[in-house]
Amino acid sequence: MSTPKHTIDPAELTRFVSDKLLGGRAIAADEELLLSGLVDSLGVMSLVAHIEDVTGAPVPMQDVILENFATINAIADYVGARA
Amino acid sequence: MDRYLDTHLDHRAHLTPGKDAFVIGQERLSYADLATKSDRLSRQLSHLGVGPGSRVGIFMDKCLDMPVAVYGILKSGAAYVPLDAAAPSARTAGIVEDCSISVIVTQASKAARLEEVVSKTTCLGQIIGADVEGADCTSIDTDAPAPERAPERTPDDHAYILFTSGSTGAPKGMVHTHASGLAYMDMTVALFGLTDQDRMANQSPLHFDMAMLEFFSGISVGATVVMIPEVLTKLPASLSQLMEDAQVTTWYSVPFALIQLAEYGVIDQRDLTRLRWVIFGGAPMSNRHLRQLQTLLPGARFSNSYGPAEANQVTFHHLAPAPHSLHDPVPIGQPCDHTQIKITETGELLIASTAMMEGYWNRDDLNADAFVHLDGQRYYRTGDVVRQAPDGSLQYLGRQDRQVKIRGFRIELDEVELALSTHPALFEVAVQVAKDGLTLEAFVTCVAGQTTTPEDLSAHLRDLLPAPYIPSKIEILDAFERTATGKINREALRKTA
Repeated sequence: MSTPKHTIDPAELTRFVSDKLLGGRAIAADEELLLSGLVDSLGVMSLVAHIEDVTGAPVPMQDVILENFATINAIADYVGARA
Repeated sequence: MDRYLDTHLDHRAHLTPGKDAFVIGQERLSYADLATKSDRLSRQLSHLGVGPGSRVGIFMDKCLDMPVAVYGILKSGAAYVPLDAAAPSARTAGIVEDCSISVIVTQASKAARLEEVVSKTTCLGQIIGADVEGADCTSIDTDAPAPERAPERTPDDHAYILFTSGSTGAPKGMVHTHASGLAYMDMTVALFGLTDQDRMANQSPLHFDMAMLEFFSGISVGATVVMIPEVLTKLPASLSQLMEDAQVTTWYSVPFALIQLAEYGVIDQRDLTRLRWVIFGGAPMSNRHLRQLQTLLPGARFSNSYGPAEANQVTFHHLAPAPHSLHDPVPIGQPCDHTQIKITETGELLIASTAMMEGYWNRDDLNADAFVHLDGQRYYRTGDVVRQAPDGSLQYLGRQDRQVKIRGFRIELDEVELALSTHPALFEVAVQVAKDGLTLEAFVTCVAGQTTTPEDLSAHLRDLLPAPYIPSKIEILDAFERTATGKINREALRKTA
């Protein structure tokens, strides 16, 4: 496995959420993903798997909390803060 | 004296006025406050002309106003109709029209969503909610004077109507009376030995029949109901933290929620020793995850409950640690005391029960098929195929029709296909459960000369159906494989999927 990355590109994450989780619906980086009901529980798990794929580092389940997954920006901040 | 589904509340409020009836996050609602606020709402509803024979909608996320609405509506003599605030507005408007609902109780944060529903209905006259901006809106806390006469009620009055997926394209409503609700309430209190020491997690939304366990059985014994905010069902580690912090003693949900907790809930890092009942139902439980949960929660008892919402709980099976073979389905167990069963030659389970619904709302066509009279008893035809073991316990084997369960949501594949086929570009459609068992997938062909995209079809469905009904994969085919009689070859689709 290559060296883990400590950043995730919000634009790339936006594309993933829009294409894979929202059936093509546009989404803003500061739009509520979970509280809005846009992303369901399977979607959260897809997001976790995607972050692990992109960064090459596991996401501990204790980190899967609202603060870290509320929006695309929150996810990017969380990944950046893991460094 | 006749009993109703709300009769116990005043008694409990008298015994333990200061005790928490419902909590959510840091907010709490005492038994005294629940009794007082629901009385006020019921007086307000009476002034609006609502009473026995009327229906009132509840359009809310989980919040402390929700039990106030439930008990306030029941006290007024009307039946409550939970409206899924996350469902598309056209679907909700259809239910409002079908039930001729003239009053909806809501909350401030839902006012904008409700406006969309209102714009699509003709019968809705009044919206009641705390601090909701907008026309024709009254605060829930208005101190309306008591009506001159208490409403005249009987235990056969309608208490609530729950809507579920219907194979004819429109959702169908299951009408329960006070008598059927009480039969369920009394039976579950005894079955699980519920007491005022219990702190019961309310995971299910109000439009699921499972929420009855906390809203009625729990309140009838003076327990505290810990409401789980919807967002936490997506965050298993936060959910297990809440269960520890709130010292939850009972849990009742569909298996999917428990499987998520088992897989992602870091239960081994939580102190859940107070949890004494883990109850699941509504869909088959996987043996592997059940074993996993039994190992993680050695102090808890596990029970598999079976029963379509039409009949409330019908059977139960209290599971000893790993008594059954890993290869057999988890048994659904013995019929409850208030239930009689028959199994037809084709294996279909028929149920006669005091907790059974009166019938489907406004659907004499469905009611004619749903019930069968045998030996002077009215039996509900479940459509579920079962097998009876030599010890009398039942095993669930599958469905006779095209009803499926997706993460606990009961969905008629026909309803999804009918919604999809309203798209003008489509010629034929077929929807099935994906291999993962957790999502739906759709296959479609286009009308000659027309084109569309999976994104467009998905957007079309989002306007018509709740999120769990939306196929996560939509594939556009040139043509379907056919059977010898010219029908879509669904068997082949299942294999290629």
